[in-house]
Amino acid sequence: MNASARQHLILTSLCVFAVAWPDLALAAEQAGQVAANAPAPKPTRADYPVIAGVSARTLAWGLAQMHLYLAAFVLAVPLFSIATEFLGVVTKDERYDTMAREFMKITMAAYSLTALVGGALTLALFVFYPHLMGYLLKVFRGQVLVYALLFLLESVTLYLYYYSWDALRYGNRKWFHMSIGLVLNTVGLTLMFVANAWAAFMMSPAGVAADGAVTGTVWEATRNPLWNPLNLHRFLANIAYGGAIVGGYAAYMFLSEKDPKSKAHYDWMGYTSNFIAIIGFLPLPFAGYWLMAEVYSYSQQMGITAMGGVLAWLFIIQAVLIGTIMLAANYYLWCGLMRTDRGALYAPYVKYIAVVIVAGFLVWVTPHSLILTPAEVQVLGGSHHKLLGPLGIMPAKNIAVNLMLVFTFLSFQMFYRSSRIPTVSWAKAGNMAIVALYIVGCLNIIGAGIYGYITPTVYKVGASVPQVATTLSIIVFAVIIDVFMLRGAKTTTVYWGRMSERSQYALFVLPVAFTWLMGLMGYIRSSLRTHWHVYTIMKDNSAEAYIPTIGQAGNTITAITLAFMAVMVFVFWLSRLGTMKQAAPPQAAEAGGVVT
Amino acid sequence: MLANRWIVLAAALVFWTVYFHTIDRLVMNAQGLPVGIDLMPK
Amino acid sequence: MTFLRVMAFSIAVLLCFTLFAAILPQVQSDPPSEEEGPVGALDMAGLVAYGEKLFSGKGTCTLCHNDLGRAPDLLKLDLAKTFADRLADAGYAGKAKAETGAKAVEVYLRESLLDPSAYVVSGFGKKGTNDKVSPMPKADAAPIELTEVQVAALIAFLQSKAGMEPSVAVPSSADTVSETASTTSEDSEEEDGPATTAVAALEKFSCAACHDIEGSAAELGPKLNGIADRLSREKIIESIVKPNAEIAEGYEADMMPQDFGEQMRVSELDLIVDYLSKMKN
Repeated sequence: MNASARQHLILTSLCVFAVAWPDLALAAEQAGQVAANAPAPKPTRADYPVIAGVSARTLAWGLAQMHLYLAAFVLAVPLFSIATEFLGVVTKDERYDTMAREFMKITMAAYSLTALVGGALTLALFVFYPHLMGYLLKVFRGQVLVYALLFLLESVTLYLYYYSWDALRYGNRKWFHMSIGLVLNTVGLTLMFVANAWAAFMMSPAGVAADGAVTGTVWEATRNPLWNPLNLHRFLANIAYGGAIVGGYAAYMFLSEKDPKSKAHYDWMGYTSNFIAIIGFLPLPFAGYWLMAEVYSYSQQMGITAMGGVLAWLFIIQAVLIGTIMLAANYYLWCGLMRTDRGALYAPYVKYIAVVIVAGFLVWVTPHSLILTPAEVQVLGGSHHKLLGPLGIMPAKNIAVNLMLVFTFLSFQMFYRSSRIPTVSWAKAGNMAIVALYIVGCLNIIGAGIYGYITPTVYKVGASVPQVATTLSIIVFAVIIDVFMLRGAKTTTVYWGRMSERSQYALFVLPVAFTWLMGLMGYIRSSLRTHWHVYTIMKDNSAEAYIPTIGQAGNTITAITLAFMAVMVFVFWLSRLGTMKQAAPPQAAEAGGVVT
Repeated sequence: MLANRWIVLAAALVFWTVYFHTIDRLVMNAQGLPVGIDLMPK
Repeated sequence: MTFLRVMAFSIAVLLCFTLFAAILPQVQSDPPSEEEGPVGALDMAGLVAYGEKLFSGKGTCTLCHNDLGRAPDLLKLDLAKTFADRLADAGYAGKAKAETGAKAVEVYLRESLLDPSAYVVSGFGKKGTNDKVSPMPKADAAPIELTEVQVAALIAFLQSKAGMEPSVAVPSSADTVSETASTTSEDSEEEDGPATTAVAALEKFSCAACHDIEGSAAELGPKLNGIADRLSREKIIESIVKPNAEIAEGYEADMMPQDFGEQMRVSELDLIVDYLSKMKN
């Protein structure tokens, strides 16, 4: 990179920082400038607008969830678009740049839809929950204007990034193009961070007195206890989600295309998307754990409502969904072994990995309390099964999920190795180091879990952090050893496109399960507030302040998911439509037709 | 060659055991959960 | 064809998740009902029973005080011994030290409910605070918001469970009625004083909820626009204070609240009647 490009990058980075932290400007605002120190409003049931029998909660829920699905998608895609573009520059492989541009192309329509649904959501919230919105405006003041300005900036950078692709294709201009991409991503992330602040404030308010009177700056309200855990969790989940959806697109195109070159292209795209989804997915349990830990730290009651009280069963559903995702991602990787001739060498190990993944899934799904009738409780002699009951509590669950993550990574590592033969002299020793790493790491995970059973509760919970650290260690060190060991490795051909049809269906399971899982998590997040708009500050007195049953929630989530699937089909179809060209009709003279 | 491989495995097993035990202890103590060398609560 | 197959597969997967959610135990969690408070006189047995209801109800005690180890399992422990141990603990330096017997237990329990960090039982403190800070929320603050009567009921329940005669005072009927009134009025926009304008008074008593007044278009009761043409001032007063005395044609008896006479101040009634007396067509 020469001086000019470097200057561009520095200048852009400076702009990025100026743009990315608008709250620093607002944080300087004195608390004394706050207009009114009135407490939070206390609307009565009659104060909530009732319009044409519309269920306000369902409407807001539907729009909010749809907006989140779309927003997560449009935030994630530029992230891996710029990463892929960068890879293309570093490896000088044209294919990466083509794919990066394709990622952006297929999502263009989604941006305006995201904004549209966001606008509809805002309208619905102001119409049906005017008191809450009025209060939130009082708390967050000028930040909402900043939010609006950021949307403008996002549109500008998005169009610039996409439409300048060919004009800024090589050399210095390429770096300039990537700078635009960097600004786009920063603006997008800031948008998410701002919106996260409002959602997190409703759960763990800060910068306000016990009666709701605004006492702090906007920055204090923004930086509430759950803000950063939510930021991290959503950032990672967006990446995983975006990867899953693009993977679904690639899988569909693979199945539809007949031309081998196209099939190869889409197979590769599917593999890359699955890889991105797994990368985002692997650290998610850690981010989720941090989020729950912060929930417990802020309010033990809220934490226990989530995991031990009314919402406990939701986490079993979550376990089913995550288990499904892991099985699908792994299955796809195992099928991927058929792309290389050496893949068959690793095939015998697949069944052991499958056993671990399925066993982990089963353990993870096992609840502590069983669904029993009183008669059954009598026969069983209690509400917990003596042998299986203990599988329902945290130590067992953590063993299961961490082992599942480790073995998923192993599946990936096997595929990666199947096309590379190490040529370094210490290859055998290196392999032994990796084998030992896996063995000791897994024993450590299991050991920490057993430790949780024999120590007091606080230690039980604390033992999950070493487990995650172990999983991360295994992944990090395995990658490091591989990077060195595979230097100058002899690569064998990867026959992109040589995949079975059913393997692609695994790539459809991912986005469907992810979407439904996000909907479920939204239901949990909202329900954690129980009957409060802003937890402990502003009560929800509407007719729909109750937490709906899981069955009702499931139906709502499925309906919204179906709507989202329809939207995405439309978005992808549009991008295809954009490339279709109708053939011009033959000349009238040649056809011998009469000119009318 | 063969002897080398198993020696490396043994050494690696010891190395990783020490590594994981150390981070286990560090992580537990960092969380405000005092544990001794045997990882049992103090 | 591919499209249909993919869609069918995706929908099938979705239905599996939906079905799974539908077969699990279905629980609808309602906001705590403000009518929970007993109105009227309570005896000690009633207070203890109320406390027991609160323990797993509005108090949300069972969320943590159970056999999972997060907080002392109050329902299983030998409470008489437990309370004695707590009060005798060298680390305890709270308000109950100044009392003896059942009164000491009462003071200890009230302190535990309203100021949990005053004394934390060994091993149950927040991680990293060396048992100095309790993870227990204050029972009278949001989100639990127990009233004084409810706190007394819980204490009575726990003392009774410990096998001692509860030392809390049984709340009088005046106490419980005012408790219910204050908890329900918390939900209604009751200002701390009489309404000072007619419009405020009409709003306070929600007249527009049932009567069409100034375009509220409610139809449960007769339209109030033009009422001055139909009723004399005395009749308007009677309609408010004794609604069943005379029912307008086409409407039913027992629809209008019968207790405006007790709820309204004379000044508020005056404002309303003056206002309505001017409403001619």
